[in-house]
Amino acid sequence: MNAGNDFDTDNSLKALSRSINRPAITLGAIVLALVLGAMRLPFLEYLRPVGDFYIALLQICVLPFLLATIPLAVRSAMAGGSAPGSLRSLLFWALMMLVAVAAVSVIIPSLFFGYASPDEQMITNIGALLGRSAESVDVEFAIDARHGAEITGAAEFAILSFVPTNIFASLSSNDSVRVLVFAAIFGIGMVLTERQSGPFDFRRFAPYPCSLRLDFRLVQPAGADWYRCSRCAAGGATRFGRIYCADAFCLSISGHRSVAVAGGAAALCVRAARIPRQGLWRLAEAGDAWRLHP
Amino acid sequence: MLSRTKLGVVALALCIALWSLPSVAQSRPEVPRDLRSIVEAKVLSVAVTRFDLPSFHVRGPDGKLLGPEIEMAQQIGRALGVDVEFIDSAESFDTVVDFVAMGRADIGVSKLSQTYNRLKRVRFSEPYVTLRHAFLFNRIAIARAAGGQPPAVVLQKFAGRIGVIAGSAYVDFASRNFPNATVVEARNWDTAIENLLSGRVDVLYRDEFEVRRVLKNKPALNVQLGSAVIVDQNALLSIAICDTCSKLQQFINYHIGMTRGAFTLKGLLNSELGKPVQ
Repeated sequence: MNAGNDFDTDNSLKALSRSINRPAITLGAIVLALVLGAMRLPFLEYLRPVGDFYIALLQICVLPFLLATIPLAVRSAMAGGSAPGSLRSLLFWALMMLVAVAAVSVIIPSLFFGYASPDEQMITNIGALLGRSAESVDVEFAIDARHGAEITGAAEFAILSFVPTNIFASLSSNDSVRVLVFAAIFGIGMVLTERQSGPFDFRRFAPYPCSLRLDFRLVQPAGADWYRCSRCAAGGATRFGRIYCADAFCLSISGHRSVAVAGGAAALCVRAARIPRQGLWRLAEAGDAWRLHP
Repeated sequence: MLSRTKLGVVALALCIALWSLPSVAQSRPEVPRDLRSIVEAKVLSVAVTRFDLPSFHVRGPDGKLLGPEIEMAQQIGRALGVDVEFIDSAESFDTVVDFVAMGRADIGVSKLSQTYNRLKRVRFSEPYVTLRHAFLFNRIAIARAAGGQPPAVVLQKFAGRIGVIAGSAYVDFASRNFPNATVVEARNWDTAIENLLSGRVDVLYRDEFEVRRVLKNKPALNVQLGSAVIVDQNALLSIAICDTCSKLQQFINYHIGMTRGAFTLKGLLNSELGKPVQ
């Protein structure tokens, strides 16, 4: 009964999605938004949170999308032997787009200002836009010669500034270009690693969901070490299992727990990798019990 | 006969002693001006500029002085238990310092930056706000001078014409930080902006607040003018205090410490008292 209801709900959602995602509706919505925006009706301010929410939803997709697709795209291009062609195509389209954007940015203002010379209000609006885009100030510099050398150097090697030194900082600051560069390098690295040690099997990650618990480990009780290690070891004696064991050991001794607990957990891990899986699951259950009732 | 002679000598000595008393009193050094003399006089005299300093102190419609600097001076007066008398006839920032140095005022409050020259003449309190030095520059002039290099490279060793307000700390700062530049002094800030817009100078040199205030109040200027901040040069805005007033300085420093955070760049930029540039 419930399954039937879920099925109906699923179908109705799909039908709704299909009916909304039509070009005519999208274009109609854009036209309506433009008209309403031009009318500057006071109540439109109340719609702002909806728009902000939608934009935020789009923005949160950008970086994960880049991180997920670029390495795989690079990998498939390189693994499929189409890398040189893809690179040529990429460069061609990048140059074409650059020329097109430059041409548009020259031609459109020329045409526009040729017919309508900017008045004071328009200049004020453009200035306000410029002021906002600069956020605070246009240039920052130091009189001290040492800081000056940094500025000059940064300008001369601007391309190097796209290479991320800290990918997490780039992610947190929405620095898409650096994330893109990282993703491309990651994809290339993945292909090169594969060529040396065989194809990369993403399914190997499946038995190790517990790796995601790492971030929370500092607030877990000591029994969680046992729990986590036994869970991981349950996957069998694989390369990732050993890496995880070493990782867990290092984190344990750098955390707030005692070396004895950490050492015991790591030893259990190494040992557990050789124990039959049924036994390991029992250990995991014991770990669960300890975690819940330490 | 002998006793009469002795009596005469004693009387003479007494007369001499009494006669010399006022001269002793006159030769005693004067009590230096400081917190005690101010409390005894029951008045704290405060020098401020004759012109408004938007967001810091301005004259209201009734001619009464308003603004956070005025409030700060009044708070100090209240803490001392004395009245506050404002002397608002100073023609320039330097004149405010002159008034304090010459004894016409006990303290001076007018967005005064500490400089080496001023410190030779008066004391300064701890800064109540620190603002970075900044340039307001003509985009075309700087782009032309840069010749493809980043603007920072040109601005760092600027050798063109720098506009500053006459009698301000930036006259000193400009000649010290940009020795190859020609310093052009303007009567006031509005005149300095006119000089920049008419091309008589290439950049204006003042603090970050004033530079950003200009662009905030008149956004159209963003098209023509750019802003630059000098990250390693700060204007320490402090209260000028009479040179002998060490105790008063301590008192004012304590007050500034207790009210720290009253002045912030954001607060100043959003202040209702920051009237638009004419």
